[in-house]
Order: sequence, then C-alpha cells, then structure tokens
Amino acid sequence: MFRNQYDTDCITWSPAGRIHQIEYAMEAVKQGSAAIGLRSNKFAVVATLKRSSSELSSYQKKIFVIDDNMGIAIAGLVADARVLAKYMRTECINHRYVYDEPMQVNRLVVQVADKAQIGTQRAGSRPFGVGLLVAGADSTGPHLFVTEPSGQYFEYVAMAIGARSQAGRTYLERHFEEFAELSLDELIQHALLALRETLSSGSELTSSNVAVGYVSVDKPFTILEDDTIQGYIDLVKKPDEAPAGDLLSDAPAPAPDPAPDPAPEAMETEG
Amino acid sequence: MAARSGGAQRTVHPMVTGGSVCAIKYADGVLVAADTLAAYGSLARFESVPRMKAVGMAHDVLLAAGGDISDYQQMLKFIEAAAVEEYAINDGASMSASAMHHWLTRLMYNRRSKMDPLWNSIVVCGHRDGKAYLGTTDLYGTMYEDNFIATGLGAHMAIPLMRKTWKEGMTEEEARALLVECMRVLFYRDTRASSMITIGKACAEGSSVGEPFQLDTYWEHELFVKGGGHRGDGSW
Repeated sequence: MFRNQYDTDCITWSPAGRIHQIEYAMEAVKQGSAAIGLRSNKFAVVATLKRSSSELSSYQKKIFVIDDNMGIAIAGLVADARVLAKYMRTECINHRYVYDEPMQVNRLVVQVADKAQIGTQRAGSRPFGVGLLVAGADSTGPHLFVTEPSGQYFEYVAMAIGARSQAGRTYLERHFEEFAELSLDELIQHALLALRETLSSGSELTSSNVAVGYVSVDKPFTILEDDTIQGYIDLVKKPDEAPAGDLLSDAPAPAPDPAPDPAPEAMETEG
Repeated sequence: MAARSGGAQRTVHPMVTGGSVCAIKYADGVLVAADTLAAYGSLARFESVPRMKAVGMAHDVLLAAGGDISDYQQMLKFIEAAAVEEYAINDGASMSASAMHHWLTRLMYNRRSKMDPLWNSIVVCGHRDGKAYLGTTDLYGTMYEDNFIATGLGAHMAIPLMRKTWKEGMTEEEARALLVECMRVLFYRDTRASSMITIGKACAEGSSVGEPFQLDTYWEHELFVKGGGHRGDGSW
C-alpha cells in the first residue's frame, strides 16, 4: 500500500528532497474534473466541467461566488474547497465591513496560500486537496490566480487545472495572445473550447455538465449554468454534432468552415 | 483611573488639544484648514503644531484632526504602519481616502467601546479617479461625508457661514477665501483658537499641506479702543 517510508506525513522529507504528502494532494487536484480560467483586459472568466456520481445524482457544483468582485472554480476535493470558500467569503465580508470596499484579489489569494501552506508544515494536519482558480476584479483590473495545495500561487492570463487539463492548457497556449482585447462572449467561447479539449472520449459539453463564471470591474461575479449556458454551448458545438454556430476560428474564412484548428481533435486515451 | 498604581491607562480627559478643523469640497478637490495651536487646557502651550498631514502609501489622503494631540499622533503611527504594510505588498493598490475613513471609524468605534477613546475629531480628505472625498469621524466613531465639514466649535460657528457661501464647483480662490473667513471668525470667538493656520489640499495632483500663515485680523473697532464701559477711557 505504501509507496515508501517517507510519505506518511507532511513533516518528513524524502531523501530526494520531496514531501510526498504534498505531491499526493496535488494528485487529488489532477483527479478532479477540469477547470479553465482566462482573462482579457476587462473580464476574468472561469469554466468548469461538472461530474455527476450516477445517473440519478445531480452534478457537483464547482464554481463558488466569494464576493461581488470575486469567484472561484475548483478542482479536487469539493469538501476542502468549501472550507476555503467559506474562509474567503468571511475575509471578504470582514474587509467590506472595515473598509467599505471590496478586497484586492491578490491579497486574498496570498492569505489563502498562507492558509494552505500551514497544512504542509504541521504534524497532524494535511494539505488541502484542492486547487483553486480565482477570478476577480479590483482597482487594478481583472485577475486570474491559481492556488495549489502546496501553498504556491501564481497569476495567469489563462490556465487549466484538473483532469486532462494539459489538453486545455495546450489550447490556451495556442490562443492566449489574442485574449487581451476579446469581448466577454468570445472569452466564454474560448473557455468552452478549452474545456472541450479536456473531455474524455464519448462525452460532450452539455448545459448540465458545464458552468461558467465571469466578472469584470463593473459587473459582479456571475455564474452561467443550465439554461443560461446553453446558448454558448450551441456556439461551440463540434461541426459533426450539430449545425455550427459562430465558431471562433483562427482561419480567416468565417462561418462555413468552423474547424478551430487542424490537429487537436485528437482522440486522447483516458488519463 | 489607576494612573499611579500602574494599572491600565486611558484618556479620560484630553490634555494637549487642538481646536476646530474646517474643510470644503471645491472644483478640483478638497481644501482643509486648521490652526497650529496645541493648547494645554486654556494655556496656549505650543504654537506651531501641525494638525494635518498627507498620509497613506500614496500620500494622497489628507488627515486633519482636532482634540487630543497625542492621540492624533498615535493615529498617525497606526496609519503609517498600515502604509508600510501596503508598500510591502507592492501590488499597485493603496488605501483610498474613503477606505481609510471607514477604517479609522472602525478604529475610533472600537476604542470607544473599550471605554478608551482616541479623543479626536478627524477630517479625512482625498481625491481619486476624478472624485473628491471629504468625511469626518468623532471620538465615538460617528461618521459622515459632506460637501463641507467643520469640527469642534467650528461645527457651531463655521457651518452657518459655509451653508451660506458654499456652492458646487467653487474655484480654489473662492474656497480658500471661505475657509480663511471661517478660521477668522473662529479665531475671534473661540478662546482656544490661534491666528496662525495651515491650509491643506487634496486634488488630482495628490495631497499637500501649505506653509502656516497669519490670519489678517482687525482690532481697531471703536469700542475696542475706547472701551465699552461707562468710563470711556479704553478700559472695560
């Protein structure tokens, strides 16, 4: 069962200079379904792929509103995410009470990262098994941050975490240079196209398994799901699935040939 | 109070105090005036104590205070500590006048709830994103914003003048003239006021405090010279 003798807690180093418990926690993030984040000069957008544990169950919520100016998309243990979401909400509401202003996104992310780090350095404690994509807007504009179980955090213009997120990152790496000036609708379409790359074979984006959140300096964090996301999903339908909408494409020819890119329809084997 | 037994100390009475603060919004921002006297009781003890300062990480907030001078100085230390913290975060954001006003109000209310108030009336001014900010808080943590504000005796004697004269979009010259008039009236009628004043400014260029200057005053009224009494010899 145990891979080695150095992985039973967070306060024991392996001779190779690793802390296995933290790495296992990062694995928990990779097993959660994917979450995509990207931002323009005006908007920060997150998109998630929701799972349902059975035909009979509902889909697990993966986007949480933190405050008017902030929301998170998560990958990993939802129970841990809810703890962090509650903490972030509390910090935001306290900040509003004291300063009558929303919190700076990066400052809250630092606090969350510090909180996550504590779990990596104490006996009898474990790291959070969740990664967060934090999308927010403040006096310095829109922001996208990622936090990890290790306590590390980074700011990105576009990032994907969770299962098969590498495919989503590949999509984002190909397109991120155009994001800065895009409209909200275009950003959401890119988010869905990146999210589509993370699908396992045989599944597709539907209004039930997709949720999108967006925020800008003057629009509060808003979640699109079910009916409100259907229109966007129709727009990014694969050509063979249904009549294509106004697909984003790097090809100059607009409507009739909506294939986004030559290669990446790749049938990935399940990771 | 257990002052000599080494128990907890608190301000039960203010000791060295500053007087009124008057402030008004004008076309380009906010102007604020206060004299430079720090009185020890009724004694004019210190004559050139500044009672306004550009504060915050970006030095774009102007804080002026009346009441206990040492409590005001401690408040400046709290603000400086917060500014240093923000400087260290280095994310390009800094506390706005509005945020600082709300924060200081929480501080004031918290201290009054501990029965240990900071014995001040403060006036917070700022200018950011094209908007002027002017607000005040007292030692109980009561706060409000307005187009013109006067604390201390000024709340009784300067406010009527401001109500009469203030209008939207005053020029800096008009605003200065109004403040000088308020401070002159206060000097004439408030025994704890002095005629040496400073005027501070919060506008798009940031916050600054001008050099102290003497108010023009007139004492040659006939009754002042020959006295108001029955003797007519200049005495009262």
